[in-house]
Amino acid sequence: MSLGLFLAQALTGLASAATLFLVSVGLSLVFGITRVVNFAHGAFFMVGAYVGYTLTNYFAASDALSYWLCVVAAAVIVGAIGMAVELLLMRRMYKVPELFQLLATFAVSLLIDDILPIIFGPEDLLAPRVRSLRGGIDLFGARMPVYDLYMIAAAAIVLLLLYIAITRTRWGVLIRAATQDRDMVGALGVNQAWLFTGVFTLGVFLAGLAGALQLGRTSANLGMGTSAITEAFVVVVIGGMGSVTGALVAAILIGELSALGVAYFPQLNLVLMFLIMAAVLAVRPSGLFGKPEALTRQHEFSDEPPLRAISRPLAFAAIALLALLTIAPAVLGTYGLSVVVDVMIAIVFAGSLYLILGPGGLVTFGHACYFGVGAYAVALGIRYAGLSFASALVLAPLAASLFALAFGWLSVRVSGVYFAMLTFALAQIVWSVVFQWYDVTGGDNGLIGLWPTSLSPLVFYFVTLALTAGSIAILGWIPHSALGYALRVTRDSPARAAAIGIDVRLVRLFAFVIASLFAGLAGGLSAFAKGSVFPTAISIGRSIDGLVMVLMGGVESIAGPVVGAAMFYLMQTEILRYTDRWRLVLGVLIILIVLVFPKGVVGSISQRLRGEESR
Amino acid sequence: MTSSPLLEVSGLVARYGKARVLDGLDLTVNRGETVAILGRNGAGKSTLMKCIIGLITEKTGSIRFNGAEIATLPPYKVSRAGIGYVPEERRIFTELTVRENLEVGRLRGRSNTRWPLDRIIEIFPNLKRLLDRPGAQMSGGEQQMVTMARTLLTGPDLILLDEPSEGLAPVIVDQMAGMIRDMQASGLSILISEQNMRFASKISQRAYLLERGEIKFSGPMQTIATNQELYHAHLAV
Repeated sequence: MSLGLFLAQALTGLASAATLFLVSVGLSLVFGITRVVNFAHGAFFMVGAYVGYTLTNYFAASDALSYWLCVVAAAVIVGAIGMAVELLLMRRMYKVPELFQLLATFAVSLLIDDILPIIFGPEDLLAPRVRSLRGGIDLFGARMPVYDLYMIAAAAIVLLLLYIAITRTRWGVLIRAATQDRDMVGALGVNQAWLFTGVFTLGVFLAGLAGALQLGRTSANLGMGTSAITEAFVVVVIGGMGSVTGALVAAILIGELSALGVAYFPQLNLVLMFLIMAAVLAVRPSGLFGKPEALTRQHEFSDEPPLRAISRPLAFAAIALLALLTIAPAVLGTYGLSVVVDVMIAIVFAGSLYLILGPGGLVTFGHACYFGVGAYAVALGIRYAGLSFASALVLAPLAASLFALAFGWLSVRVSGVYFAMLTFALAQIVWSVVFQWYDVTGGDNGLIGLWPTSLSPLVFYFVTLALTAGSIAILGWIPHSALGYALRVTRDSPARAAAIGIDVRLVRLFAFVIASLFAGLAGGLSAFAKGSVFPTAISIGRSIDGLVMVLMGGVESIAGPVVGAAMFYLMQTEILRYTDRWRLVLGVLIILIVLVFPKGVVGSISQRLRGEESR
Repeated sequence: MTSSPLLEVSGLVARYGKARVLDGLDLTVNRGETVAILGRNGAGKSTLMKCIIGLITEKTGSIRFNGAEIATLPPYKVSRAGIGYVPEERRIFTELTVRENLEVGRLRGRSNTRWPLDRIIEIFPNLKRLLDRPGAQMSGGEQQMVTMARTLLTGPDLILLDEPSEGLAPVIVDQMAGMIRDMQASGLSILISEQNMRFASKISQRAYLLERGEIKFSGPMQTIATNQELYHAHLAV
């Protein structure tokens, strides 16, 4: 590779870094001050591109000046939308547990994901070409798109303005003070609410700006939000949350390594991103410029009652349900049985997530990864190794726990929102690999025709029933076991747990692997139940489905995810009958759960039954 | 109105979970008065301060300031109403310089005629050479000065001092008593929580003895300072 080509690659990397920086710095600033990780940040980035497209088209922006004006106007409009979201929703959200904050912002992104195609249609949209911005310039014999240089300049200008605002203005002083101790800032007479609104608006404005700037490089498309948020998470995890410098350095690191990675080992690009993240976190768990987290209580369902052994009525209900399901094949037809199988698979998946979320107190946004790995293990095992039904079904949880061992080793180094972001980013990386590796996984065509001819649906039904009953029994028992005690101690007081000799990371890793093992089993069963596997098995959507199931049921006991999964599945099936705007419905549902039932449906009801006063 | 107390707390109950930390507390601070809350660790002194400034929201009872109910107000409104809070942990913004720390407290809009920066530097002369120092690089005494100065810049009528002498060398504590007298001389009312009886008796006129969230005794500082029985029952460790 010549010097010119190398330089051109490096500049392209810097242009990608510009986008990464603009998106991540907003996310990071908003988190620093509000302690909320805004999952909708990527969606706002996407809105920026669509609004930019609309404006450049409407004003037929054909010269550079009007193009830039449209880009800035788009960012302002997106910023205004962000302000509205802060005032209407986020404001009510700052005091709820962080899982709900994450879910609520994710719900906003679901709404945006479904509303955009209604307005703009499903096709990728290309902004009108502006001649003076589209050329290339020669650089040591290699051609370099001139627009990349503009991107770099735009990011540099933003960086400079941001630097001045943060270090030289009263507003900047207040932001830095509130990032460290917002209560004290309030006690000194500063109305934090407007500070929060201001920073949130600024962050969303920057995301919108980055999105609109993309129009000069690529089309506006519906996938750009999710990939933007994934990359932004990787950047802030590497750079350290709340740090502008960290966002800058990590953005350049990722931008450059991806650009050079594409040039040298195009297949390994995503794996490269994972390796960088692993290397940084192994040495500095809080990122290059982040501050170590205080070992405070992460879990926020603070008035959870002590864990009780399974109550007698509940035990009878479980036995009755089991008996009912055993005789069900006598009544139900093939379709009915397949519905029950799907519900049971959802229950195992939700139950495995409960272990991490409830007793573990860790919020994961990547649990689908292990479900998907289980499902793909079955599919690939049958397709390429000719495995039997039984051995494929054994392979699924094994493969999932191996992945969980590697990813968990990395993830348990952090906790709180970092854990959520990291599990999300890792799952997205696996999803991308599966999605792009056509030769082996079939990409988004998936792998189909997995049903072994020798297997009868009735046998499969009973196998699923037995495995589900066993899994739920084990997952319900673990919190009462020695591991469960240790796990709950690490949740309630990590510092004290460490002080009495509990290896916090090891306990969490152990629980994480066990939970993933059951998720993998659920995934393996689903591969057979559907007879096919698609990348959606790993997608963030499935992780969120799991979280909503557990939340609908409540995190207080294993009964929560069981009830929640069944409710969720039946509701989804019903709603999909009437509309395919499922994400819109789900988004509204999540926001309602968070605002009305912050303890989950079962939790809220049982709390009311116990007659405890609510806060 | 001048006859009514500046601060009037009545029937204040605060809970952490199910434990009552303050159990029906009544207390007043008159204009220009310095009142001490004495009690051991865990008696509820800091909780009381946090309730008044509004950092603890799970509470019942009434807190009236200048005749207006403030129990339901958020901290920034309590601060703007004229109550300053100097927390026990001092809570310096360590990422900011001293000058920036003071800037957070500085009132905008409403002019703070009683406590302009020059006046504050008269009370805390050492502040002048500290202004450009990072908040993280200060001794305990210096931190205590910065946090008091920062709070005075908000222009309070009443200041809540939560165990200001804690962790400071005796000579620094004596200096601080002098500074607090300067503050009193400008007409500032003070509610101070302390375990250091000697220090508290130097600066306060009245005192309340707090134990397990209840007022066990109240009266002139003189009475409490000289009553060995009270001291041993409620304060001695």
